[in-house]
Amino acid sequence: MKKKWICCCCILLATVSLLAFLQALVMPKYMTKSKEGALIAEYYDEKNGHDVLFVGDCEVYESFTPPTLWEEYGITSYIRGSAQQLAWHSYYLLEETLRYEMPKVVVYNVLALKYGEPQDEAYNRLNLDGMKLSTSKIKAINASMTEDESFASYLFPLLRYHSRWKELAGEDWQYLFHRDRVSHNGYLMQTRVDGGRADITPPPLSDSTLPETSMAYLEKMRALCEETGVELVLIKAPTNDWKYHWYDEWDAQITEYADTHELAYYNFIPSAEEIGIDWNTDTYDKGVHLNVYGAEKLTSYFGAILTERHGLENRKDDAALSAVWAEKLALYVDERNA
Amino acid sequence: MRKDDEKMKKMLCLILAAMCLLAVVSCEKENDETAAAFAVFSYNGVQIPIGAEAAPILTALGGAPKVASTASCYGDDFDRIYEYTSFQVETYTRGGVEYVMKISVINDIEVNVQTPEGVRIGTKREDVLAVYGTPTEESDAALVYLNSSNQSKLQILFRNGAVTGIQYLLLTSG
Repeated sequence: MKKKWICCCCILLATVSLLAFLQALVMPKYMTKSKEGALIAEYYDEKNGHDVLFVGDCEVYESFTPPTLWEEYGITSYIRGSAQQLAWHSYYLLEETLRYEMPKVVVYNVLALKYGEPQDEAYNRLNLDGMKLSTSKIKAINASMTEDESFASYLFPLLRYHSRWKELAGEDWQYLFHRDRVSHNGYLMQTRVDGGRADITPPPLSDSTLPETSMAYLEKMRALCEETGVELVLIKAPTNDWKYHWYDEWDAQITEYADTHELAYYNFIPSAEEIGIDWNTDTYDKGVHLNVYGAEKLTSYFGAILTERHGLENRKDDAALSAVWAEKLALYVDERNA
Repeated sequence: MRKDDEKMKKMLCLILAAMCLLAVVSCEKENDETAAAFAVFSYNGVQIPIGAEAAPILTALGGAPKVASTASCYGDDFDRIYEYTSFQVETYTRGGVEYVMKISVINDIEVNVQTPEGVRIGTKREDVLAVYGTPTEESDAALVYLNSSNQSKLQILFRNGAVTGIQYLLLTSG
């Protein structure tokens, strides 16, 4: 009888191990292509808390550089940004992150509020697959799924990615059990320069009010921050492309929301010149996103605001913290100058 | 006599059922035809169906004065916009092929820019309703006509009861 049990347990263990191995093998690794897919999971390697936490879409992970914020202002920060991070992704990521640390300020980029419903499975995967299993992840999956997606495939991604066995590449074997770091505390560096901005008329707005669903999640973020004693700061990155245009009507709505709840809201679009952004040199894709040179300028500008208006202190006299950030800064400078 | 009555009843039922089926089929066909009309914009005789391959259409339209492309936040595919004097054509790319994703009428500088049904910037709301009939969705700011056959919609935007913008949109891309 005992032998039977041992045999059953061994078979079960072998099956589970095999399935886990197969899942690890077929999951996309995002190490050489579409690196933004690796951002969410990378956070869990972080050992210390931070003064500032950024949440939002590509406009956060391409516009602010935590090593610069440390170097110039002694402020520690992390960007929990991801590609097309929608308001409900941001809320649940914030909820999850506040279980690991309690920053002084949470910065949320408002562009994604224009989306009132789930958009695309590919983006959901980039936002959700990297999250550790938690109640926040489960709630995030439920809020995010498009019609054709299944809840089970998020809990057991093997169900979703099994067909990838036909396209397995060297990367899938190389990063089977580990990942390289792709970001600098959530900042995904772009050193290319592809300047100039197209003079395109923003397509007409069909609805001048931001969707109720996304505004409801902004309200949840605000309430969560209030409850936990974290200051919520709203921003809009200075980029303002035809495709991802921030309309004046939306700006007015967010300004009113911020006023009502006594939140700070910084729309950097009209301040681009004052920040020193040069659209010929500070973008890697004709003004859609900032490159590292533009991001450093914006970070420098925003660091002053965080220090002067939000009371964040320079923590460079903390020797242990300085040692950690000296290492981060060295890696950042290496990649920037490579 | 009773048998004959029953036969007659069965016959009548069959005829009625056939007529109903015919009515349903013809009704569906009519709806599809109307809907399909909502999915094609035309300019100077060039038909621009929403969701169609863009290359031949763009060639027929001639060079756009302004062109821009934007990478999505993720991936290698680019969305492009071709801006003509009074309208824009937006495209997406899948597998190296560009498809029409959105058409927007943005101003009335060119007077011949209008929908095939004659709606243009400045047309009164009641005239739009007379042309297109009952919309799928309605608000003060917009009338929306869904086209289920090719997953697109025609969206007509208003301010002060007059058209300020016309958009043909593909609801799913790729």
